[in-house]
Amino acid sequence: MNPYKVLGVREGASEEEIKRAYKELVKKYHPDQYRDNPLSDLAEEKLKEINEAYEMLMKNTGSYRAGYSGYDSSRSNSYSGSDGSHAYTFQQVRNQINLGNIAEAERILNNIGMRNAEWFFLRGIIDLRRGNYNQAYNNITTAVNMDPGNMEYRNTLSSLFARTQGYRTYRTTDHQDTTSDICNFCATLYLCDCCCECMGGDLISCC
Amino acid sequence: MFGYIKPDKPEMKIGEFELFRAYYCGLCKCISARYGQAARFILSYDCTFLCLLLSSLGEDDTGLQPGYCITRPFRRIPVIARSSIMEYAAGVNVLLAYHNLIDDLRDKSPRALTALPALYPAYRKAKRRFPQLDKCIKSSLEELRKLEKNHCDSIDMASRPFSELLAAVIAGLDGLDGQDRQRLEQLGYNTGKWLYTIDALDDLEQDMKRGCYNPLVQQYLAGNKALDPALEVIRDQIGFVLRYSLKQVCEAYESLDIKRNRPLLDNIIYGGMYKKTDQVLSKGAGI
Repeated sequence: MNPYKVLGVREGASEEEIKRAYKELVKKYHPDQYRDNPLSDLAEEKLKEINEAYEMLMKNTGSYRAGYSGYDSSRSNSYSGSDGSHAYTFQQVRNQINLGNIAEAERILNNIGMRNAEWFFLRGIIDLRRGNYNQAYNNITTAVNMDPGNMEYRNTLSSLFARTQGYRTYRTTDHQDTTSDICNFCATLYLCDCCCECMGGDLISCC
Repeated sequence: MFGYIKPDKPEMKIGEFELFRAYYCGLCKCISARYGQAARFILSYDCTFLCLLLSSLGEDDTGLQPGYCITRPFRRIPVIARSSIMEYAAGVNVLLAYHNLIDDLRDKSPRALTALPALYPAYRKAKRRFPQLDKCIKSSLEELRKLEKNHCDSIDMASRPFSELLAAVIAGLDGLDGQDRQRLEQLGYNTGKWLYTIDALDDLEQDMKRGCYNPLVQQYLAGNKALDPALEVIRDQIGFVLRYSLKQVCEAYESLDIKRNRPLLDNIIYGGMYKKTDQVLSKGAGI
């Protein structure tokens, strides 16, 4: 297998290019896109292949990446430079989540000693898949608080919120107070009249 | 944890209400025919919902038939005819009620002490009919019991056994195809999560006063903290859990191929369950 071919980049492409191509392909073949689709098996296989190719390329470039603090500047610009060694492991966790291997993703994540924003974020995603909604909410909120500039964390949190809000599509008739209708008006007049009569006066002379 | 799944009656049309009642009465009749008169008293709205949901998926429609009810002796009322799905829901109702009573008995509830002997013959019959289900309910509730004993301080962990229990119950009917089963499992799991969580939140104050176990007290109010300052956080976080799991329920429900009774099911899920959520969340807002 030629990993460059699988990812559709030229040989010797820069890490940034590989990353971009990889991200696009994962999006394209993501299992969510193929729900209830007969091609889902095929897409899954393709995704596996893409992941393997990506891992292969990343391993090869690992030697120069160790001292390369600018790696993935979009995501790790707020961490210290020593974070580079974890970036690969975090990517592995993401791959496993994308493939649906939640147990494996959790195992890898728990082996990481550092607790940075990305760690909490991925922990939250795993919790969400596991049905631990309370922990998921807390972990993703922690991630956002630790790294407020990261749009990925922010967007995830706000889309989670959006999901909890968008349910009022059901036909509901508004039960507004209908105190201003004509019956109430007449009743009020009648009561006023009664009160006046009690006091010796008369508001409406006919009754 | 029972009685939270109910239709939103003010929003119902008369026809929908009649239909819901026909299911309710049908289930009641089915329970009494299978498990004896004594078992009738355990009839629950939740199992009516189960019967309704599963009946709405099947190919063949079990029609209405006229019946009599002791509460309205001089009128004939429409009831849903007995079917294998209704038998299943009746069995689930008996098993759940019995195991729930056993649980209450451990808490030394006098009601459980009187009701248990009356329900025991019905339980034996249901157990013989659905041995797998009985085992599953028993083990889940035992797990829950263990967590409670250890004063589990996470609502996620504490709600897991009950969620798994409901997933097994809702997707446990024979003859479902693989995809439907998976969707029903998701629906059941999240319904269970919603039920357990809303029950914990609803009973929060009461459990605090009595000193009973409640996962939310353990999680947020450990060490005799005051309720008032924590309430805001609880409402925020638990509100998320409730709404998120309810959303999952809705998504699973929308992916199912519902063949009939849709307005009624819509009413229960989008109306009743959401209204209950809002109601319990806003409860205690004034204290």
